[in-house]
Amino acid sequence: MVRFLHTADWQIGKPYARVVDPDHRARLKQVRIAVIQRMALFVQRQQLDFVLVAGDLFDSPAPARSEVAQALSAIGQIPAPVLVIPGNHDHGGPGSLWHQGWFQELSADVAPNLQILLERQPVSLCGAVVLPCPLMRQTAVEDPLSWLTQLDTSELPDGPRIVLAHGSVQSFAALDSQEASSNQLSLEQLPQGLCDYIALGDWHGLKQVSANAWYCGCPEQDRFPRTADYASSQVLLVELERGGSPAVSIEPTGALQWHHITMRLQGDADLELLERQVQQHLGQRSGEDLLLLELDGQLSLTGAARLEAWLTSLSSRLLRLKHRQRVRTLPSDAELAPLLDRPGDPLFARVVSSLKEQSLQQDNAEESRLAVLALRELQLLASQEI
Amino acid sequence: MQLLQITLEHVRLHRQLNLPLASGITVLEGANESGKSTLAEAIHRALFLPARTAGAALNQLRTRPFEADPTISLQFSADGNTYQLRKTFAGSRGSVSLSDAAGSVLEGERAEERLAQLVGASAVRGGNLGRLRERWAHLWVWQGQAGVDPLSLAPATIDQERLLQQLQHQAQTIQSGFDQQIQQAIRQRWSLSHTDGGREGRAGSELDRALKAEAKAAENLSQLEQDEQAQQQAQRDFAEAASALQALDAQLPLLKQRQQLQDQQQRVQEQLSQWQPVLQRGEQAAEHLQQLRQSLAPAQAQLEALQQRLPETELSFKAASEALDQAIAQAETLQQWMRVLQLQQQADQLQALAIRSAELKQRAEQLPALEPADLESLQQLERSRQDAAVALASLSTGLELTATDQALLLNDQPLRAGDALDLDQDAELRSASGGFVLQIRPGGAGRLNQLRQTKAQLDQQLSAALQRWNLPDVKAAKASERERRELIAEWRQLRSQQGAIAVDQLRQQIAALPEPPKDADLSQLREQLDALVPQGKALRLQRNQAEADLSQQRQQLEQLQASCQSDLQHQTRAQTVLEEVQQSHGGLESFRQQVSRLQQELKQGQQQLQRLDEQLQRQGVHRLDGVSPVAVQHQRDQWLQQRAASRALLESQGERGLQEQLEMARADLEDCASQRQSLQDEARMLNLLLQTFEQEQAQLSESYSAPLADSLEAYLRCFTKAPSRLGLRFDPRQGFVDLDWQRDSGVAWGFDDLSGGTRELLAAAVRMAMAEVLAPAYDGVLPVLFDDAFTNVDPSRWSALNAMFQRARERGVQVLLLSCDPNFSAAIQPDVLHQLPLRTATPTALHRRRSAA
Repeated sequence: MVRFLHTADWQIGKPYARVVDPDHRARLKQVRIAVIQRMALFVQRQQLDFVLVAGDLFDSPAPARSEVAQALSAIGQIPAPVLVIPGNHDHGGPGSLWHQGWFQELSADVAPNLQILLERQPVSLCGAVVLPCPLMRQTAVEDPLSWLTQLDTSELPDGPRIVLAHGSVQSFAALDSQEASSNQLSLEQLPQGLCDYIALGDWHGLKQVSANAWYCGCPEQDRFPRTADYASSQVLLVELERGGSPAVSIEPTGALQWHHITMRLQGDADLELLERQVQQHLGQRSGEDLLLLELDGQLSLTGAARLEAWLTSLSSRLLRLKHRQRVRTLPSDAELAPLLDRPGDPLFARVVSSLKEQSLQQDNAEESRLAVLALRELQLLASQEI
Repeated sequence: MQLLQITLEHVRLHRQLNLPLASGITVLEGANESGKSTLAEAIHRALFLPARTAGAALNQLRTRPFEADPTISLQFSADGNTYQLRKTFAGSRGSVSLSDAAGSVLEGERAEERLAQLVGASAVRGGNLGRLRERWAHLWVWQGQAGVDPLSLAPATIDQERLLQQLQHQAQTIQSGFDQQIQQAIRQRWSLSHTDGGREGRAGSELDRALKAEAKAAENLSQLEQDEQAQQQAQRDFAEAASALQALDAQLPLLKQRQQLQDQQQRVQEQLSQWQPVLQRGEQAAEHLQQLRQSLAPAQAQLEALQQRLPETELSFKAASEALDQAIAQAETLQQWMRVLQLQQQADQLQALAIRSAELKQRAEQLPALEPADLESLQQLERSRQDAAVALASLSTGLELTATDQALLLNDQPLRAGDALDLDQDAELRSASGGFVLQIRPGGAGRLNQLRQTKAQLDQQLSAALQRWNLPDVKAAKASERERRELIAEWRQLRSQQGAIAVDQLRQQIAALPEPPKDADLSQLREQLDALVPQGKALRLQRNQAEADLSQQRQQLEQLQASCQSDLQHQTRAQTVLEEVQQSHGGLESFRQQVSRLQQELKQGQQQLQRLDEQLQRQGVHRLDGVSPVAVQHQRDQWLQQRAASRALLESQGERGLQEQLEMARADLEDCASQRQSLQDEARMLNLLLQTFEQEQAQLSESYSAPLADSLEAYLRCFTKAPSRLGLRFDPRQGFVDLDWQRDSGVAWGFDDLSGGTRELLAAAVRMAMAEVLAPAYDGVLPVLFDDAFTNVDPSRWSALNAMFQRARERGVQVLLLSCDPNFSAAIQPDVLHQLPLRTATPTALHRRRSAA
């Protein structure tokens, strides 16, 4: 029996370009190195035979050297062989880092336990046979598994067999519409009994796709969950015997919290509800959470201003605040009354009245939006005067 | 603000001029060039030209020639105080002082600043004369400017802002200070993001920067996307090259094998194509030989038979020939003999002829050789002699002595009686005694004598000729000549019968021929020859037949011989061919087997090729025309190149971390776009605000223009009692526009459409209405100066004009009128009238200014 760690999609070097704050960006990158260190401790604790990385160890075929170096050092701390296949992000085509002299030298220096599997040929390890299906370009022309259908298994040594592959499974690909991979894996084409476990990568959530095929997800979550059952930030501990069913246990590894909150604001009063809900998610933490906030509904001028101020302060506590805003601002009568009721300032009152009309018109959304902005501006100017 | 007194020192032509000004109407009358306009300019410059100004503005003020620095002192009331302003214009040395009634004095810049506050407009720095003349453009009517609509001038030059303030103040409900403040704040912010022309994104503005940054980010992204596409293309190229190379590497050995096979096939094919005709020739030769062998034997037998028959035919031919020859010889002999006989006869005849001919010749020679011409000549002579005798006879005188008694002598010859004679010549008849002498001259003197001589000559000639021929007379001559001619003719005939053949010749011929038997007879010989002719003909036929037979036989023989010869040659050739086959391929049969083996080999090769092609087709090579290992090798090289090139590109790009850059660039573009969007939103919001403000303000504009129009209409009523209506509209951006005047319910005329005089009147009314509206902001009074401003106004309207001035005077307008026309000044009722050049008399105060109330 072999015991190994199944992980994938570390995506070291992911730039997090949409995270504006450079400190936050650095933190997000750092977290991805730190999780390797936690994995190393876990491997040590569990005395595992080896680690399989099912593709996309790096975010691109040419990640920044400093990040590669940090990752390699962390891998070097893992007290077991680490077997890696290139995925679609870090495919093994020409120009990719796998072929770079500096990479080979560096990994030999700091991570001698690292084995990059660029060939489609069986690898024997600790009594097991790993059947790697590396991606040699971003979009493979043929099914990366196809070589296995012609494999002469009579030559293979005894011991459990593990297919290591990266790509999407037909029935399941549609779910991951954000990053549609054209590297389709047809698991059903594999000969019956060829292997005992299929270690898959590419899908960043946890997913068991058949009795012996698993997507392990990322060790550290890297996107907002789109479904309630989306599970990320874990690795899989697999215990395997030739001809037996794999025993798979899930080990959480993530440090960051990713939240997705959707709310319809029926009025300014709902803002408090929103604030409470976010507060429940964040607790006392700062700088460890990422939040996708999807809001719609409508607010008064005051409410909108309050929301804006609150979001500004909220974003300082978050590594990232992604805000999808479909909230309509509509000045309330109570807000407009003091602007309209100004007999001493006839021009101002007439302007407010005209803008109010424009803000209510349905046929030109842009004009209506600008009118609301203008009203807000007038409200602000008027309040400054007072 | 009221002007009280003006003093000029050394200003152009005024060395020293001091004019007190009425609070109401002051008229300054003076001829052209008397310095009126200088005064108008001097007051204006005192107010708006800083004392230290140099240049043209200063030069214009100086006296000609320069005497001293021009100095202008102006006393005026303003802001509840009375001020004394004194400016000495001397360039950088210029000085200004402003003192008030309380005795406080301001000098220099402070004085200029205070002055600017009091007059409501700043001084014009830098001596810009154009801008200088724009100060108080609504109050100061320069010469020649009276027909200009003052409302069309730039808002700043006509104090429009203060005018609006006054109008609002009077209308009360138009715009509050707050309104203005907000509008101004918005306009200020709007102008930060908009150009003066109203375009969004003023250069240098935040929005402009954001737009540019976004464009740059988009360009950067686009560049990176292009790089990404290039990279993807390179990946495709690499994969394509790699897979093509893999395919080619699989194809190449097959293609090489195919090429070898093809080459071998070609060699076999070539061998076959060489051998097949050889074999065919061999086969043909064998067959031919067989045929020749069959046909040659009878031909040779026939030949032999013919050859045996030939001598016999030759003999019969020879016999016939000899018989014929014999007959011919016999006939020839007969003929020769006949010839001899004939020749002998001929010779005998010739002999006889020769004898006769000699006889004839002899007889002819015996006759005189008288030719017909000779005879003719003789006959001619005889005829001439006869003619001469006849003539002589006819002329001669007959004389017959019939009786005589004396001897008479005639020509000394005795004449006897009875003698008769013809005298044909002169004769002398004389008696023998000589007693009688008669001269007879017949025929005239000498003629007869001449005839007688002629006759004698002819007789002599004839006789000589006859004698020569030895002939007695012409008759004999004639007979002799005929005989001779006949003899000669006969001789000639004989000669011709003799011909050219000489007898000797004949004799020689005879001698050359065989001598015939002694008793040979010509006719007998002829009979013998005639009998020989049919025999000779038969002999000839026999011989010809024999000759034909022989010839035919020989021809047959030759043909047979030639045919056999040819067959023998063919036989040799065929044998040679077969011998060659024997040598090269060990005989025909062996050769056949060899060719058959090659054909078999070719067929097998073809099958092998087909199998290879099928294999290649399975490898994806569907068209094999022109596909050679060399071409494939070439293709392979090209794919290798493509693989190397795409690999190089990918490797170089791999260093760049394109994916990360792309993601950063996308995020950057999003950032820039959102930044731009937010700034654009703000700019558009401000634009909307400003527009709304202006629209609403325009809605309120009626209230602005109303007080001004009311005041104007009141002035215009001084001219016409008929109902008139004045049109005026206020536009927040353009100010007061669309000034028109409708009289007697007729058409409303725009300012520019009015006559020159009416324009001057309407413009003056506008100015006074403006001054009236503005006056409260200036201590209740403002001066309006007109320099020769009514030159186009009909004198009949002067009294109405006066009424207008009086109305203005009543409403806090200080009127200064400069005119060169004494009648005009007489038509106006001024409070003070000055006449230039100034008389010493003190100006007369004609009216009293209305009370301050």
